[in-house]
Amino acid sequence: MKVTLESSDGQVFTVDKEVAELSVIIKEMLVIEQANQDHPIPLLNVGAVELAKVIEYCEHHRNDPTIDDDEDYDSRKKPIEMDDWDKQFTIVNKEMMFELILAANSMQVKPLLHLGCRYAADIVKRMSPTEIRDLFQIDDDFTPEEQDKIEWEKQWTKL
Amino acid sequence: ELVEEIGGYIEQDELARCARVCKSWYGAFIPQLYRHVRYDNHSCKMVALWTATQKHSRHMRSLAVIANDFPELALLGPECCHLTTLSLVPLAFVNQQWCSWLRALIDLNPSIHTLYILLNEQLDRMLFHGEHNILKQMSALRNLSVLNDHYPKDRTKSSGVFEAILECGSQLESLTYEVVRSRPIPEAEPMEASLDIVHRQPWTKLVSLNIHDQDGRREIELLSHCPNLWLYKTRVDCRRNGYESLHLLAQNYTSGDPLYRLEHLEIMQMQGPKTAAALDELLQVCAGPSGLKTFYAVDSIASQITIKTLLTYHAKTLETVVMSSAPWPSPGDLHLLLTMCPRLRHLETFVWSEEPKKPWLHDLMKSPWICTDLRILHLITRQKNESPLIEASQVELLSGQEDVLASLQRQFWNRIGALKNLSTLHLNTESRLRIFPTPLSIIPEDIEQLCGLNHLQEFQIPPWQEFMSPAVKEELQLKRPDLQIEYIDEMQLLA
Repeated sequence: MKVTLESSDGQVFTVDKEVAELSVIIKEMLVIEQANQDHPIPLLNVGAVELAKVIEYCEHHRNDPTIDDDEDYDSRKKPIEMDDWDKQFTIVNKEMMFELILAANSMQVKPLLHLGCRYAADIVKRMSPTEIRDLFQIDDDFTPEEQDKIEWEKQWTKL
Repeated sequence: ELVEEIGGYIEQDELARCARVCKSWYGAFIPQLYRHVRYDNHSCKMVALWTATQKHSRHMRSLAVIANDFPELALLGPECCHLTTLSLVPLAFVNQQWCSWLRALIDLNPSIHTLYILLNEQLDRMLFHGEHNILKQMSALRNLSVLNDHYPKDRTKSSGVFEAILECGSQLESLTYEVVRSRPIPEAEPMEASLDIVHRQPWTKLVSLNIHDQDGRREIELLSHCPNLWLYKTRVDCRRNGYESLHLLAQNYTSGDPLYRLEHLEIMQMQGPKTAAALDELLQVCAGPSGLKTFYAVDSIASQITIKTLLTYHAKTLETVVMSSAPWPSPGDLHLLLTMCPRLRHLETFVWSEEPKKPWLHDLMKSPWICTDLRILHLITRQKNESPLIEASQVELLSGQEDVLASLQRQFWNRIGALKNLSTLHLNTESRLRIFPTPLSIIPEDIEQLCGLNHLQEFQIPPWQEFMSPAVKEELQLKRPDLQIEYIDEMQLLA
C-alpha cells in the first residue's frame, strides 16, 4: 500500500506505507485518518530536500527491527552499530545534517534522530563553548556574575 | 529537548564544556553532568566541586566515592534522594561519623538497587554486624558486590558482611563476593567436618553469582541457596580444588527449575582430575534448550573429554570461549571449536604443537571454519615443554618444511580474510624461541586479506621484523591508515 507525503514547499512524495510508518507521527496519523487516505499527508516543518533524504533513510532501514524506546538512559552511551550505509549517509555538510535532525525530530523517525544526534555530538564534543556558539549562532546569555558561578564547571574537564 | 538527546552521546568532561555555551544548554546538560558523580582522591579535595554537587544533587543517580580522605556525605544535602547506584571504596580510615552519614544517605535513597563496597575489618564491624546491618535498610537492593579486604583472624567467626548477605540473599539478583588479600588458611580441613549450613528458602531471584574466596565453605554455602544461576564465576586459590562447587552446581540443575540453565561459566585456577570429572558432569546437566554461551577457563586444566562434552552439548550456543592454559586444549580441540560452533564471536586460546615436525596449522586447516561471525580472535602460540635444550633441533626440523609451512600460512590468512566482522586480532607468542618463519608471519600477499577486514580495529603482533617486515608494514599502513598496529612488549615476552 502506498502513502503520499507533502513537504512544506508543496512537493509530493509517494512511498510504501511500511516505509512511511518508520515515522511515529505518520503512523499515528494513518491510524486516525484511515478513511481519508486520498489526500497527501502534509509535513509543514519539512522541506523537500530533507524529506527526500529522510525517505532515502527509511527505505534503507524499512526491515530493521524496531528499537524499544523505553530502554535505559545509559544504554545510549554505548556505541550504536553504524553500518557502512549509515556512514555514507552521514557524509553531508553540517547544515544539512542539522536540518535532517530537525526533520527526523518533527517526523519522529527515532533511529535517524539517534544517528543525527550522535553525529552532532561528535561535532560539538571537540569544540570550545565559543566555537559552538558560532556554529549554532547562539548568544552567550550568561551575565558576568553567572559566568563566575559556573567557572567551577571548568574543573570537571580536568578530572 | 534535542540538545538533551545529543548530550546522551557526550562524555562527562565534554558535557561540562557544552554546559557553558548558553543558559538553555546549561539547563539541558547540567542534569546529565551530575547524573553520574565520581569522587576520587583528586576531586574530593576540591571544595568548589562539593558545593556544586550539593546544588545539583537532585540529579544524581549514581555516586562513586573512591578516596582516602572521605568527603562529608552530609554535604550532599536532603535533595540527593534519587540515587540508584552507590560505589564505595574507602581506602583509609573511616570513622563512626562517616558511617552515620552513610546510613542517613541510604535512608534518603530507598531506590538504591546496586551497591558496590570495598570493606576492611573496621567497616565490616561498623556497617554489617548484627542489628547494624545496613543491607536491612535497603529494600530495593538487587545487585550487591562486596570486596572483603579482611579475613576474620578467628576462623570460627564469620565476617559480618557474609552473615548480612545470607540474610538478604533472597532479594538479590546478582551477587559478587570476593575476599581479597586474604590470609592463607592454616591447613585445609575436610570440607564436610566444618560444613553446617542453615537451611533457607532458595534464593530464586539470584541468577548471577561471582565468587572468589579462599575458604570454599562460604562458596558452598552460597551455592547451596542458589538453584537458578545463569551466570557463575569462580576463582579458586591453589589450596583447594574447587570441584565441590561444580559438583554442587550440577546437583542444583538436576533438581531445579528446567527454565534456568547456566549460560555463562567462568572458572579460574581449577585443575586436577576431580575438577575434570565435575566439569564434565556440570556441562552435561546444564545443557538444555538454552545452553552455554560463555565458557571461560583461565589457568584451569581439564581434559580432552571436557572439550568433547562442551561441544557435544553446547556447540550450537557457544559465543565466547576463552581457554588460556597450555597444554589444554590441544590443536585438534581448537579445530573442533572453529568447525562446530556457528555462533562463536570471541575465541581466545593457546595454540601449540605436540610434535615439532607437525605444525599446529595442519590441524586448524583440516576443514572449513563455520564461525563466520567471529569478532575477536586471540591466538597465543607456544612450544610444548619448551626448554632451551630442544631449541637447536626444532629450528632444524622446521626449516626442513618451509614449503609446507608457507602453503599453510596462505591458507591461514585466507581463512582470516573470510572473517568479515573481525574487529580484534591478536597473534601473540609465549615462545622464547624465535623460530622463523613462524607459522603466522605476514608476507605481502597477505596484506589484501588484512585490508579486506573493514571492521578490524585492534591488531596486535610480536615486535620482530621476521613476523612482519618494515616494507610489509609500510604497505599495510598505506592501505589501512586507520588501523593501529600494536606490538607486544618484547621484554615481557622474554621474561
